Amino acid sequence: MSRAELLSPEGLRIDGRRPAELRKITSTTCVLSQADGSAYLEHGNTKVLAAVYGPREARHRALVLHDRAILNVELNVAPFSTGERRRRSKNDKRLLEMASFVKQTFEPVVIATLYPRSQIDIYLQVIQHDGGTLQACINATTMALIDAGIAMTDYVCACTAGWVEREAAIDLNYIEESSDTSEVTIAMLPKSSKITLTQMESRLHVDKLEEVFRLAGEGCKQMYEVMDKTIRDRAEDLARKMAV
Amino acid sequence: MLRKENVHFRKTNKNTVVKRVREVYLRNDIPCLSTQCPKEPPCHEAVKVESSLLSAEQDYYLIPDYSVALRYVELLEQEELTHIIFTETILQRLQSEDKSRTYKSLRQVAKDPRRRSVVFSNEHCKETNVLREPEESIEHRDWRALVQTAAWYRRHLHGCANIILLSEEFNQEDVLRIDDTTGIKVMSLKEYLTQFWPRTAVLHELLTSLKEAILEEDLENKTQGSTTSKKASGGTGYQEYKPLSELEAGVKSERFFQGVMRVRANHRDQAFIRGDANIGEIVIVGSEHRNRAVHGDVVVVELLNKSSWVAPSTHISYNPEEVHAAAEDEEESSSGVRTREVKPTGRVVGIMSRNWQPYVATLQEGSEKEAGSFHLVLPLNPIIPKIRIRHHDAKVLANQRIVVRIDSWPVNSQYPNGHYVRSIGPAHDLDTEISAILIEHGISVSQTTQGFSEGSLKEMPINTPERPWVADPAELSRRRDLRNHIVFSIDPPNCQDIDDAISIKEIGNGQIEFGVHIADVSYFVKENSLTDLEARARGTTVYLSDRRFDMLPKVLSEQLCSLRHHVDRYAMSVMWTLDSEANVLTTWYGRSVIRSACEMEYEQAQGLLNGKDVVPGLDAKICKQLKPSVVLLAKTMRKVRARRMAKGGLELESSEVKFKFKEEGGGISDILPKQPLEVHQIIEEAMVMANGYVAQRIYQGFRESAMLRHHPPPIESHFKMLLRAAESRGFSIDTTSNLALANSLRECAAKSENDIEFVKLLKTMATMAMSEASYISSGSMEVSKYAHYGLALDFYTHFTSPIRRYADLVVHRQLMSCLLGSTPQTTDNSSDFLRNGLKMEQVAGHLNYKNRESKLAQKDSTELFQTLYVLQKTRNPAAVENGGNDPEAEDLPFIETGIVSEIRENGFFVFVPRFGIRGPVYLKEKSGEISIPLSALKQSSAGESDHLVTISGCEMDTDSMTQISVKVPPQALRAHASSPNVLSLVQFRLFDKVKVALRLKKSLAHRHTIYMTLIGLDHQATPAAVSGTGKIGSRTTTVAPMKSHSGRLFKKAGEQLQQDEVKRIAQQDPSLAPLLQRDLIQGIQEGQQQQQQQQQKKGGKNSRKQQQRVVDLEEVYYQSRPESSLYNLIESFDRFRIVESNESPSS
Repeated sequence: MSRAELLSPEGLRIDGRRPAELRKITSTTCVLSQADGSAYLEHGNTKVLAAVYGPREARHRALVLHDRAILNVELNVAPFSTGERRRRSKNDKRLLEMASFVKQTFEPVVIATLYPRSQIDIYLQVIQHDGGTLQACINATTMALIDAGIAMTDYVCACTAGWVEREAAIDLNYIEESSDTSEVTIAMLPKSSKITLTQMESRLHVDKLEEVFRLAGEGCKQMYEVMDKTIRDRAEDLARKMAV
Repeated sequence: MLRKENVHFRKTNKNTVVKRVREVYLRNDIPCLSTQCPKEPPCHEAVKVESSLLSAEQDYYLIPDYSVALRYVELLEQEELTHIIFTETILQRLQSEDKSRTYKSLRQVAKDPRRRSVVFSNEHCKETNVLREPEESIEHRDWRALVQTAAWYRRHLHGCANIILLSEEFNQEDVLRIDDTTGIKVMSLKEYLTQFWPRTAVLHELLTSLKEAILEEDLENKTQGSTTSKKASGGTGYQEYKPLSELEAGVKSERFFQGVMRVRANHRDQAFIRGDANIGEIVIVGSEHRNRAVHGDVVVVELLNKSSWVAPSTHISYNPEEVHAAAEDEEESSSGVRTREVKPTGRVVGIMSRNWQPYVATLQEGSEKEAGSFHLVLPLNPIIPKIRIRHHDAKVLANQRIVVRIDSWPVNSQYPNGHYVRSIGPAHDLDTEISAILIEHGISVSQTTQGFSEGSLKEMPINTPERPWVADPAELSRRRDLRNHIVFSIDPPNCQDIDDAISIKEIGNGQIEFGVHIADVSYFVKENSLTDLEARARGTTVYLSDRRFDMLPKVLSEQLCSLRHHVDRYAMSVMWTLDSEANVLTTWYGRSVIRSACEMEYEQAQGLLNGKDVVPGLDAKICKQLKPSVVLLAKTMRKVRARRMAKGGLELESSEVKFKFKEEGGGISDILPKQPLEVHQIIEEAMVMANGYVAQRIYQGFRESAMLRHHPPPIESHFKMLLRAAESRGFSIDTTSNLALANSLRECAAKSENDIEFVKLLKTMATMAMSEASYISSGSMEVSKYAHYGLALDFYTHFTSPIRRYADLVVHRQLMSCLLGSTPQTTDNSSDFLRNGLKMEQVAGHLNYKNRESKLAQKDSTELFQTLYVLQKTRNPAAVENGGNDPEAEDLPFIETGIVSEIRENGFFVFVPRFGIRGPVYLKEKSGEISIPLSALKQSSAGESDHLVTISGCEMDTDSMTQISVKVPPQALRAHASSPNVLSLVQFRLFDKVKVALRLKKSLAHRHTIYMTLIGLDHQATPAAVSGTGKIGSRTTTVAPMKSHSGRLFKKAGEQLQQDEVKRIAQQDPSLAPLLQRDLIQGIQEGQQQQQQQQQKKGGKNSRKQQQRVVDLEEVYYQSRPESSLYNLIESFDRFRIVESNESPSS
C-alpha cells in the first residue's frame, strides 16, 4: 500500500479542502433538557456533545474553595466513535490528559469568583472521532457554558493546524493527523487575541512554527464567527418565543 | 462547497472487515487550466496554482483513461503528445493500486512546462464528480467520470476545444449516455496515432512493442493462474519480497537496512549498499541474494549471519559476458581468502522503489535464428542483467543496438521481462554508439537533435547577414560602457561559444583595474520563456569527444551572447580595483557593454607571455597592444593563486586527453594528452576569483536561496588507496585538512621529482578520493558547509559560463536581482522563483544530476574513442584485405610504456599516460594458470619474439595490494636455459613502469574493451634512455638482481645530466620541464653551495654571477612551467566518484 499524498500538487488536501479551509461546522445548543447547558458540535465527521451542570453545590466538601467555583471536566470517547469498535477505560491516560487540558483552558476564562463554594461540572462525550478531538471539545464546552449562562470573559475558540507535506494546513482530519504530521492546537480568546492553550504533538521545525500559529489563529477567528452566529440565532429565537 | 461522504469497506490486519467513512468536499473552484477559459478573470487565476496551462494552439485536448495511463505510459511520455488532461480519477487509482512509478511518470509529464499538460481534480469538482451506482464496476464508474470531465470541459470552454478520450477498453458507443456529445471523441491509441501522427514512425513502433508486451503479460497471468504453485519455487532461487509494512518496521528497528543498490562495475556478481554509519557498506553477493534487484534500485537488505560473511573479491573480472563463470569464481575466491577482512553481507528482502530506465541492449548472438518470439537481450552496461523481450521478428534486431525497458521481474523468472522500444542502429557504428551513450545518460532527444521548438526560436532576436543584430541604444544607456577598455578573451582554438573575456590595466599609484566580463545570457533568455524552460531541462551543454550538444540555440550561443571580437556585446562584468599586491580594494558588479579586441587562443597567449613579440595567427599591432595586458594579468593572477594555495587550494590531476581526427575517412589520427599551459591556470584563477566574489554577493542578497557550489571534504576512508600507495614509496600523507593534504602532496612531488608519472598518479589518486562538488541552495544547509574544499574558498558558485551551464544563468539572475536591490520587478513571479529556497534546491538537484550525467557521457565517449584508436592501431592490414574480419589474422602489436596503477589478486591495472588509457593485465588466466612472457624475465637482451613465448605453471603471490610477484618454477626455466640472464622471480610493485601491448577484447553486445598483455618491465635505465624518455633514475625496476645494477646506472645518468641537457628535454617534452627544472635548480643550488664553500675556502668570490644563473633558470622554469597543475582544475573535482568507489580495493 502506498502512502497517499496528503496534499496534491494542485493544492488540494485529501478530502478536497485547501490548506486554509475548515471542515464543515454544525452546532446547536440546548440539546439536553436535563443539563443546565449543553451543546452539540460537528467538525466534519468529528462529533462532540457537551453538557454543563452547575454552578451547583460541590459534591466533596474537601474540594470546596470558599472564594470561587471549582471546575470539573470529564471526557469520554464512545466505543463506536471509530470504525473499529474499541472500548476505552475510564482511566485512559490520554483521556485524562485531554480533560485536564480542557479544564486548564477554561479556568482563567470562567469568572469563577462569582460562584464561590460551588462546582461546575462539564461532561464531554465524543460520539464520532475523525481528528481534532481537543479543538472540538473546547469549542463545544464554550457553547455549553454560554448556554448554561455561566459568566465568562470571552468565547474560547480552538483550532488545530499542522504542517502537511509542504504547507501549513488547519483543522486536520484523522488521516492527516495519523500520518506523522506535527499538529498544534491553540485556544484563543477572539476579542483580545489572547491564547489560553497551546498544545503540540510531534516535532515541528521552528521556522515553520510561526506560519502554523498564524494559520491556527485565523482558524480560531473563523470558529468564533460560526459559534457566535449559532449563539445569537439561538438567543434571538428564545427572545422571539418570549415575546409571543 | 458541498459535503459528501465516501464509504468503503476495508479489511484490517486482524482480518476483520471495517467500514471506513471518508469525508469529501466538492468544490466549484477547480480551475480548467486552459488559456481559452472564457471566464473573467480566467478561473486558474482565481486560485493560486502552479501548473502549466493548456494553450489555445491545439484544437483538441487528450484525456487518457486508466487502461491507457497504466500500460502506455511510455507513449504518453513521448514529447510529441501535448495538451493532455490527467484526471484525478486515474491518478488516484494508480496510487491506490501501488503503481507509483507510473504515477510519478505522469506527474512528470504534467510538470514539464513544454508539454502543456495539466492535472484536473475532477473527483473534487462539484460538476464532474460521479457516484458509483449499485452493482456498477469500478472501471465503468471511472469511465463515466472521464466522460463527465470531457463534457464539462466542452461546456466550460464553450466548445472551443474538442476532447479526445483515449481508451483501449471503451469506444464511442459508451459515451452516448450523456446528453451532449458533440466534440467528444473516443479513440484507441492506434486510431489516434494514425489520424494525427501518421508519419511519426517512432510513436507507431513504440505502440506496437508496448502492445506486444501487454499481450505477453496477459498471457502469462493466465498461464500462471494454473501453474503458480508448481513454478514458484522452481529453480530461480528468488524469494518473494516481504510486505512493505514489515520492511518499514524492520528498517526502523535497524533489523533491515535500506539503501541504493549499486553493482560493482568490475565485478558484477557483487553489489553493495551504503548502510548507516555503524555498519558501513553491506555487500550483496550472487544473484540469489540480490533477489531481482537491479542497479540503482532502493532496496531493503537483511544481514546474513556472520559465518557466511565474505570478503569482496579483488580479482579483475575476465569477461563481461559471463555471469555464471563469475559466480563460480566467487565461490572459489571466497573460500580461498577467508583470512581477509570480511564485510557485512546481506540479501535483498524487499524493494522500496525501482529505478528502471531505458537501457541500450543487443540481442544475444544467435538468438535471431531461434524460433519463438521471446529473446534475451544483453544490455550494453554489463551491470544490468539480461532482459527477456518479445519481438515477432528477431532477425531485424540482430546486430542492432536497441532500446529496451524492463516491465517486471516475477519471482519465477530468471531474467526480468521487458519490451523493445526502438532501434538505434547497427552495433559498433560510431553514430549508434554515440546515441547509445546519450540515451544511457538520459540526455533528451530534443538536445541530441540540436532542435528547439518553434516557439522558443520565435523568442530569439534576429541576426542574419541581411538584418544584423544591433545593440539597442536605450539598453546601451543603461549599461556601463566599457568599450574603451582593452578587452580580450583566451579560449581553445576554434571556440564558438566565448563565455568570458578579461580586461586589465594599471590606473596609477600601483593600482590595477581588473575586470572579468561574462556573456549576458540572462538579458536574452528571460525567465520562464520557452527557451529558458528548455535550457533548464537540458541543464548543460554536453561535450563529447567529437561533437557537442548545445544548451541554447545557436543564434545565442555562437553569435549574440558569444563575446566575439570587434563587435559590441552585452556583458555582466565584475570589476576590481587591486593594489600592487593584488589585494582587492573595491569591487563593482553590473551590466556593461564591451567590444573585445581579440579572440586569443591559449597557445598565442602563452607565446606572448613567454616574451615573444609576435605570435602566429595574430596581427603584430594587436600583439603589441595586448602583450602588456597579458603579462600584467599573469603577474597579478600568480599572486592571487599563491594566496589561495597558501590557504589550502589543491592542485590535482586528471588524465584528460584530446583526440585529433583525420581530415577524411573519419579516423582518429592521434590522441594527445592535454597540454597544460600556465595561461590555463591564469584564466582559471581569474574565473575562480569572479565566481568566488559573485558567490559572496548573491549570498548577501539571498540568504535562503542563493545558488552556490559546494565541495564537501572527502570521506577519510576514501584516502586508503592514496595512503597505501604513498606508503609503498615511503611517503606519508596528511589528510586531515585540505592544506595538510596540499602540503604533503607538494612534499611528495618535491621529493620524487625524478618520477613525474608517480607524482601524477598520486595526484590522480587524490582526485579520486575527493567528494563530488555539487550545486546547493544556500537555505538548505548550514553556512559552514558552503565551503569549497578543493579551491579553499568559503563561498563559490558558477558564474562564468552561462552559455553552457544553466546554473550560471540562475546566478546571473540572482546577481542582477541583488544589484537592483530595493526595486524589484514586482508583478512577475520571477523574483519569487529566485527567492524560493525550496524550488532552488530542486533546480540545484536537477542540475547536479544533469551535470553528472553529461560528465559520464563525456567519459564514456572518451573511452569509446580510445578503443577506436586501439582498434585502428591493432588492425592487421592483411586481415582487412582478406575481407574485413578474418578472425585468424593476428592483430598487430601495439606496444606502449605504462605504469602499474593498481594491484589486484590476479593481475594489475596499467595506466598508459601517453593516451590516458587504463587497462588490466592478467597474470593469472581464467583457467587459473599463471603465466608470464619470457621477455619479462630477461633483463636487457630480450629478443624480438620473446613476448610471444610464455612460461606457464608459475606461482604467484600478492602482498597488501602494493606488490605482486611471480615465481617461475625451475623446470620451466630449464626449457629456456639457452637464454642468458633469465630471472626466476619477477616482482611488480605499484608505480613500476612496464611495457605492455594494448589489445582489444571484442564483443558484440558490449563496447570493445581494452586490455593489455605484459611485454616486460621497462628497466632500460641507460643514460640514452633517460635523456630520451625523461624517465630519469626510475627506481621502478624491482627485479631483484637488477637493483644494484640499475642503481649504478642511475647514478651515472645523474652525473651526465647537465643543465643544457635539461633544457633540451624541456623543449622536447614540456610536461617534464618543471620537475626537471626544479630538480636542477635545487641540484645546482646545492652544487653552488658546495662550490661556494670551496671557493670561500679558496677565497674567491663570484657569487653574483652565480645568482644571475639561477634567475635565468627560473625564467626557463616559468616559461614552460605548466605541468604542476591542470588546466581544468575545477572540473577535475567533478569527476564522478562511482568509478572510484567501485574499483577501490576494499578491505
